[in-house]
Amino acid sequence: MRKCRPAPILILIWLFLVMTPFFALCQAPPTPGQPAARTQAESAAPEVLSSGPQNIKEKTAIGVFLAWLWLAIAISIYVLRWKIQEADRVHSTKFYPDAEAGKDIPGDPCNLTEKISTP
Amino acid sequence: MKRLRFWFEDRLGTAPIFAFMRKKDVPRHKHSFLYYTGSSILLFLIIQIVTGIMLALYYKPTLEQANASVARIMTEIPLGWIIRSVHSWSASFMIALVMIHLVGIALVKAYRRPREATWMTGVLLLVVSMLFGFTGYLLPWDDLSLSATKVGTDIPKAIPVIGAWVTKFLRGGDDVTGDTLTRFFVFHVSVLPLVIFLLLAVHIFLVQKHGMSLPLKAEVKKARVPSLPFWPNFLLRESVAWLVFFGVLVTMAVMFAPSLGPAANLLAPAPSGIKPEWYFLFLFQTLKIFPAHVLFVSGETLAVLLILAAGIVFFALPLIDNRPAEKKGRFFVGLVYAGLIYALALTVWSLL
Repeated sequence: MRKCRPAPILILIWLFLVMTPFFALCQAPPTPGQPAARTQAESAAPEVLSSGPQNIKEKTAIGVFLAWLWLAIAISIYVLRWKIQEADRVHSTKFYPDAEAGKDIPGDPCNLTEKISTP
Repeated sequence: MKRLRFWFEDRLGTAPIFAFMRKKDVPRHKHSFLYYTGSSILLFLIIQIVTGIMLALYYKPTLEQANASVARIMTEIPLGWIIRSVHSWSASFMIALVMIHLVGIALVKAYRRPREATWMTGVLLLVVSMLFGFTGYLLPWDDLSLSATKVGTDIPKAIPVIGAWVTKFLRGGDDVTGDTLTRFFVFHVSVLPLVIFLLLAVHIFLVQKHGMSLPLKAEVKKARVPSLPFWPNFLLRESVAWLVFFGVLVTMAVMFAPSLGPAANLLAPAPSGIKPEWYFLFLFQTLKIFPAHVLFVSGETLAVLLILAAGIVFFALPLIDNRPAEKKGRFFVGLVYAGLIYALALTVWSLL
């Protein structure tokens, strides 16, 4: 039976969650309040260029972006916690007892050398 | 996917690395968090490299265009201001973590035999990280960065015999000019990355060779400490730390993005309130509190020599405290605490 492999799907979901707000921020058009790029002559003007959101629209976009980001992180941590528990359970049952002794594990699905050496 | 993995495995011969990862164990005890700080530094280094490359695509290291190109990154390039902010904040996070890691190692005495070289490469990594910060600070080429670099590159002058030469070498002349900017850019993007990769490779090799340190009691009694497999148990836990650090980094970068001052004028007087980055503040304040003359010696020279001596003692700590694991070495623990309190107090004083 084919094993269910959720990791790539979870990575894709995570990427979507994280990258969407990045692209949304990317698409946001420059607002009138935002200072334009300074030319060489203009750069001599004694003014401090502050970065970050300039108006309410950009501030909202930033807020949404941060909310998405932390949501994505929270979901990822939830999934990781689940995987850690599973990994700890496998370790506590000594499913791979020979690993500690530094020997190769016969039949280990992760053992690449074994796979390659098989004709 | 598997075929691709086997193809790479067949060509690159990475099986021993994965086999090593599967067999490597990480001890579990009350100081285990130090292992997480060590590997989290790598996260910030990777972020630094990625954002640094992105910034270098648009940055122009010339006297006329440096400030304008940074302004362009901040205003014209999509997400440029976030990338710059993340680069700046991740530098601070990385240096803070390196400091926490080193102080933690010093307090649990993990620098003792056979890990002396691991400690020394760690201290050198801190120095290189700070040099990254110092060289990067000038690159926006605004009034504040110019003045801070003038002050910073002036400090080595106080060292007898070689001081003047060091200052001239750093500046590429007698004063901070466009040559200094080019020089700092080259150091920042090519020389220092090579040095840090070399040191990091040696450091990681030594960590793997000697294994992770255990608490003193366990080392003395040769007791068996509970452990976790590196893969996947430790790496999964590490991923949680990385995610949280990443979230905090992006939040800080978005909320407190660094600004950019007007283009530096080489002939203008230094602006008031020049301050270096936070990790240099205690050194900056140390120089400020020394009087002009102490007996027949210049106060600045004395301060610089004391700072150098403290740095050498910190670097050579494993050679000075080279006693067996049975000795607790409370004096050195006290010394580390004293140094920590001193650095924190002077940093706060400098900010007031």
